[in-house]
Amino acid sequence: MRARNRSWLMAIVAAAGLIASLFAYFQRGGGISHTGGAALVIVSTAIMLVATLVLALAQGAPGWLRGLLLAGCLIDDLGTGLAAYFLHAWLLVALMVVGLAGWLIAMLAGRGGAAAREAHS
Amino acid sequence: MRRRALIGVAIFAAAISALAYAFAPSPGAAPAAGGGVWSTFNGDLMAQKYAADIQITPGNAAHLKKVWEVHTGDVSHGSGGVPATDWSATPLFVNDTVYVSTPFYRIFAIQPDTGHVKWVFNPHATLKALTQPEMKTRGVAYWQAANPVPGQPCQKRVYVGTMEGKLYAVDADTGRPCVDFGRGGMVDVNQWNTVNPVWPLSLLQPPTVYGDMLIVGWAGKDWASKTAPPGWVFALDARTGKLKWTFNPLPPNSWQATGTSNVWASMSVDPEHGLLYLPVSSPSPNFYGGNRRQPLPYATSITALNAETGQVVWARQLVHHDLWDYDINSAPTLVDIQKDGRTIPALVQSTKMGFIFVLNRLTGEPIYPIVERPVPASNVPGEQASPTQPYADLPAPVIPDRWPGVSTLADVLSFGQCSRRAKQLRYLGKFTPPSLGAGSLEYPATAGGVEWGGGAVDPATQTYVVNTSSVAMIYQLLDRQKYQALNHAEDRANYYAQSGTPYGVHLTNFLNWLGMPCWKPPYGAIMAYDLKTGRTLWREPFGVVQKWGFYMPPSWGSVTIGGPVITKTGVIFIGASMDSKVRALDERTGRLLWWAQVDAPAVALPAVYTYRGRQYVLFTAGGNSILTPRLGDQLAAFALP
Repeated sequence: MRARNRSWLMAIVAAAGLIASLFAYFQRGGGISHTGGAALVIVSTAIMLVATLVLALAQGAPGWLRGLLLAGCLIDDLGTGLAAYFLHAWLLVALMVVGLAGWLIAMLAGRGGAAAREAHS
Repeated sequence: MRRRALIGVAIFAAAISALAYAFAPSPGAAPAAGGGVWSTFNGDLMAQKYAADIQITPGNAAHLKKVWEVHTGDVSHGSGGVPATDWSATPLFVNDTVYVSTPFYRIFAIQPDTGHVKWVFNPHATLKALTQPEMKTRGVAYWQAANPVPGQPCQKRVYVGTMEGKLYAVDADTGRPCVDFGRGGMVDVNQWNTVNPVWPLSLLQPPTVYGDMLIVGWAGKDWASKTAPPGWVFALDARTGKLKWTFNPLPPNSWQATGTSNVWASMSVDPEHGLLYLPVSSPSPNFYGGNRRQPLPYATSITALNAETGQVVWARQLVHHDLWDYDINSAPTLVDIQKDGRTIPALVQSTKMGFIFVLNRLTGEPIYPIVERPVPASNVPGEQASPTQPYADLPAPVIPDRWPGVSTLADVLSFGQCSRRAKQLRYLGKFTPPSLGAGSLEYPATAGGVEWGGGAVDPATQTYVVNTSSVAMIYQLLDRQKYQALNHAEDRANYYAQSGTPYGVHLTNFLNWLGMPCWKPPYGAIMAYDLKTGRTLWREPFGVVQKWGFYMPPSWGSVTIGGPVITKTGVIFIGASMDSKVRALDERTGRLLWWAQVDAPAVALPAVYTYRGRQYVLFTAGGNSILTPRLGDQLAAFALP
């Protein structure tokens, strides 16, 4: 249940990132409206949202798939954060920092949970 | 007895009239700046771009807010039937109204404090790329009668020109045509386009209004062919549109060999001495001069005329036998300089070559030295480049004498493409002539240096501020056979026929396959000079390069189009950069005081005015596809809360 909540947290961050990206793309006079860079972060946050939703909803997914999705989320988060930095989309940068923190928590908690399960077995 | 009395009354009346005429301030004119108005493209006739308004200061500029905006709707990205737009219009504030023209040549009259549109005039201009690749305007001109008669129309007039060469006059209060001007309110300058009329004379720059005269230059296609319309300047009666005088920078015996050397940029006027200053462009075609070997002393020059007669008072050629499209492209700034205990009536001319020429505006003699230096020879058959060119070392040129060299980042990311290409190009320093083969590396290129925005001056501190670009291009001549072998080369971007000569030309920015500049940054800067000494006061990278929305480091600066204005309180306002930001800087230090985002690059001079006790700064955010594809139709006003 806790792991599921942590995935939901990442999904919420990804959703917020997608909304921020869409706003940046369509905001008239926002500096990056209708640019390739803004379109790129729309795509990257959308992919992140899908991945985190899978993590949140498919708790029974195989470990390799969860690992792959978590690794993908990290790359996506870092890449989106870097792109947002060069787009001067500071809200998106902040969200990606929160997302990174969520990812780290998820990883550490996952390891802690695994260690606890090993101790009980 | 009665008859004698009548004669006496008549003589008395005539004497009174003569006295009144003698002491009248002027027969009519664009009002001077300094009273909170922005009456000409450059703010005033002396092209100082200086506002005497005092409400916005370096201390409070950070609090500026957008108070209104107008979207004209006149924007095109070129995807439909209308060419892309290039909105470089400086708004005017006169007659308690903001006036601005759009790239579709409509005039908007706007309430200065609310942005409410009072009226719109539509000349229904032809929206075709007749001479320029884009629909383009740099604004309107304003004239008012010395003593406007209440109730009479067209005592105050706004003028707009079109790409097809038509000049319209409308009533400043109503927007209705002034039917006494030309034919029904319109003068077609092409009626005088009788020598080599291969294209129309495009009126993109607003006329210069001096007294009751409109002084009109035009733009064309000086890259297209050997022969072209020679660069007539027309002085028209502001009321009737009748021709008062003409001036042509090219002698008649050259008209079968060349053309242009026209005045497409704004002009300046010294009202005290009655002198009109023309920034004269290069002769045609731009990049080959084997057809025009005779002396053309007014080509690529500053030429001073008697404003009343059009007679030449003095001229100084700033590029000999121009092969680089180094048009003199902005109105010289007129200012009195305190130097060595004397007050010198000066003229400051920024240039595409990066030189800042400071001359005595009454004589044309240099205030700071100009020296003739040997420059590279041409290796193109038929061409004979000038052996020397004028250099001005003080004030320091706005860009370095040598090109900055290959950018390591651009070279690495293109797997060495930049350095390989650089080795193939002919480069022997500034003024390397265009060449055959791989072509010549040109630095600065036709984009400057300083573009048509020119510089601004604070006449109190005698500080001159100017923005610049650092652009390297490749000029490659192609012999006629090779040029014609290219499929429809004339329709391909950056290929120009130069018909009537042995060579076409291919012009490209020196970029790698990713679109990155192959030369080292910074790509743009802004700087200030002390005109009393010629010393550089400060210099900073200006603007930010933006590609696909991504902002590059501020230390790279941005290529700039447009120019600065200065206020009495020492605030510089400028758009000009490709990042679609408008900025306020401190005149003393160049420090950024404020910025705001607008819809597109503000590639026009801003206008500064005060209305009902509140100071406004007004930016036209229209963009220019040379900088970035982002175009707009926004007029944005900023003021303190």
